[in-house]
Formats: sequence, structure tokens, C-alpha cells
Amino acid sequence: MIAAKQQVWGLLLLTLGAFAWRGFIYLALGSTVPAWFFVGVLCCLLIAWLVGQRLWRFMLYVWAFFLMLYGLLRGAIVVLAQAGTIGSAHVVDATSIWFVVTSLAYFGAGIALRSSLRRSLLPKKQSSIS
Amino acid sequence: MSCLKICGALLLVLALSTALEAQVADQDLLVQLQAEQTAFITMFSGADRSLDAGTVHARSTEAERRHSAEVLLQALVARGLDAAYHRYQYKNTNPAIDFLLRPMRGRNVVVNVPATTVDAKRYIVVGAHYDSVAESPGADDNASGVAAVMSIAAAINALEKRRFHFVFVWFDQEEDGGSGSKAFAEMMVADGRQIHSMHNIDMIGWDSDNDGAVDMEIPTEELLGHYEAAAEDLGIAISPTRFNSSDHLSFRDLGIDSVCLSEQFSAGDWTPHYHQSTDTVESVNFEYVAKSTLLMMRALTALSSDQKAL
Repeated sequence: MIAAKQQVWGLLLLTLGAFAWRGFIYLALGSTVPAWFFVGVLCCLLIAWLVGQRLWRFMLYVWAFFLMLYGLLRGAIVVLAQAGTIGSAHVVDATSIWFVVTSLAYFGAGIALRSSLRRSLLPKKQSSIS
Repeated sequence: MSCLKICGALLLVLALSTALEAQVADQDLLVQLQAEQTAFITMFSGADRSLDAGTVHARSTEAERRHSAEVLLQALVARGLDAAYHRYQYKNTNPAIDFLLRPMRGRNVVVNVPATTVDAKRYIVVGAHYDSVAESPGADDNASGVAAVMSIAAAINALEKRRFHFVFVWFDQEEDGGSGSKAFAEMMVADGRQIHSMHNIDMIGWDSDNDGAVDMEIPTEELLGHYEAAAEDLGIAISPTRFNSSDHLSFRDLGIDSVCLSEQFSAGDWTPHYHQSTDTVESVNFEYVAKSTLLMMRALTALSSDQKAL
């Protein structure tokens, strides 16, 4: 079984990687918003890591909460697009089954990150032999 | 004296017969254009073309637009034009959406008609969008413009002499922020191509009062001269206006002189079927489409041979 700490790092790198990829794609198309967002998140995490354990953990919780919110927001777009509230054909096309799956993945990653963080905080069990 | 009178009368008869001949030729061309365009618009906006038989033939979703682009490309090739796709990806209309959705993507259909003179450097872009909104067959908006640009491309391609390179483009996703034309205009500018002007057609199928009048945005005196001369020959009244939507905006925003031709919005004579499922072939005035096509065709032909325009 993977240790909680390794899970936290794995989920963090995976989700940051996804946002880095989005930033790169849009930077190539001349839109800087996703890239600036990624750089901003990276800076916040780096500062928190350098400052100390408490801030680092807090930032990880914020990131987990953000991922859940991001997944939910994407889910809401799917519902609105399928209900015909959004008129754009592009939005309807973009909210495909793959979009639903990735939205669920973002939401799931947020929950998993949060639970891994909590588990990594629990005190280790005392050995019965000692 | 009587000899002079006879000569004068002969000259008058000659001038009249030449004018009559030109008018007959115009009529023949109009009839031919009308027949071709009726067939194309009927096919493109519904009747003969089907993704699913019995459904509305919109050109809105990615699958519908891809199918439409294929149909369009085949129609152009059948007319002897060398057509190709310009595939693109483009940022969303609002930067905040980039944060949530994938980029916009589509395909413009392009026909390049090179100049016949070796020293030609400048380009004239002629375009119309081929997509429609959801649930609308888009016969007027904008199968009418698509058909018109097809006819103009065939006519310009047949010219013996062209002082400009012509690029004919059928744009994707005009109804979704004009990303097709934006991607194309930016690509041309990035390639360093010198664009003389852009000529756009959007909705030329509705003329309820049968006056043949059109709305036009014409940005320069030079272009205005060519269009006014053509309009006078054809007996078309032009209402000067300024459109702040459609594909010419993508070029105008880059500082390129851009023309837009459409039905008479300024006089309230525009389709009541706009963006509706009722924008079908039955609502299209084909004579009006043909005459408006001839207007741009004439103006571009004159521009193409105008030495001063270079």
C-alpha cells in the first residue's frame, strides 16, 4: 500500500501537471491566463514549502479544495450545456464524455488529496511487541 | 450634312446595340448564376444532404461542420477549383473560459487563385462563413454567402489577367465568436502576406420589397469607386453602413481594409427567420443572391485589373 505522504506528492504532481499542460497549450495559442494561473499556484506552493510545515499543509488543503470546486464547476457547465442554457456549439461539443470523466477525475483527486493529507497527520500505531 | 446625320444615327444604333448586348449577357449570366446557386443552396441547407434523415440540417456541431466542409470542398473541386482545408485551434472568446474548456477547433475551406502577373505581391481575401447556429439550416445565414463566394471564385479563376493573388475562404465558427476567420487572418499576417483588402458576404438571401438594394461596409474611396461603378451598371442601390459583427471584423481588427456585403439590415429589410429553424431554402430570394454576387464579382474583376490599386 502506498504511504499517505507519497500519495500526497503523487496527486499534487499529477494535478499540477494537468494545469501545466493546459497553460502550455493555451500559451501556444496566445492566451496567457491558464499559464499565469499555473505559475501563481506554483509560486504559492513553493513559498509555503519554504516557510514551514503548517503553511505547506494549509496550502495543500487549499489546493485539494480548489480541485473539488474545479471539478464541480466543470460539472455545472456540462449540466448547463446539455440543458441548452448555453447557446455556444463549442461549449456543447467541448463538454463531451471525456470532459465529464476528467471533471470527475479532478473532483476525485481533490477528495483523495484531502484524505491523504488527513491520513498523513494521524499518529503512527504503536507496535504491540514493544 | 445628311451624310453626317446618317453616320450619327449609325453610331447611336451601334452604341444602343452594344448596351443591349451587354444587358443580354448580364441577363444570361444572372440566369446561369441563379440556377447554380439555387441548386447549391438547396443542397447545402438541407434537402439533399443528410447527417440523419428527417432532422434539421444545421451546420453547428463539430460533426455537422466537418461534414459540411467536406461537402463544400467536393463542390469546389467539382467546379475545377483547387480547394484545401485550413485546420486551426483558437483560444476561447473569453480568457476565463480557457481555464475550463479546450480550445476552439475547426476547419476553413480555402481556394488560392494566384495572380497572373509575376511581380504581384498583394492578396485579396474573399470570404463567407459556412457554419450555422444549432437547429437552423441557415439557408440565408449563410448558405447564400457560401454560394456567392463559390461563384465569384469560379469567375475570378477564369480571368485571363489578375494583378492580385486571390484567396477565397469559407470560414468555420463565425457563429461562435468568429474564431475561424480570426485564426485565418492572424495566420496570413504572421506569414507576412500583404493583404490589399478583405471582402466578406454574410446573408444576401432576403429581399422582401424586391428593390435589390444591399447594405455594404466599404472602408476606402478606392473600393467605394469600384463597388459604386458595378452597382450603377447593375442598377443596385448600395446603403453604406458599418457592421460590427461577421468575419470581416477579424481582418478589420488587424488593420486590413474590409468590405462586408449583406441584405438591407439598415432599412429593416432582413430575414425574420434569422437563427431560426425556418431559415430554409423557401425563404431565399435567389434572384437577389445572384445579383448581389454579380455586384461583388464585377467590383473585384475591376479591382483585379486596376493598375492604380497595386
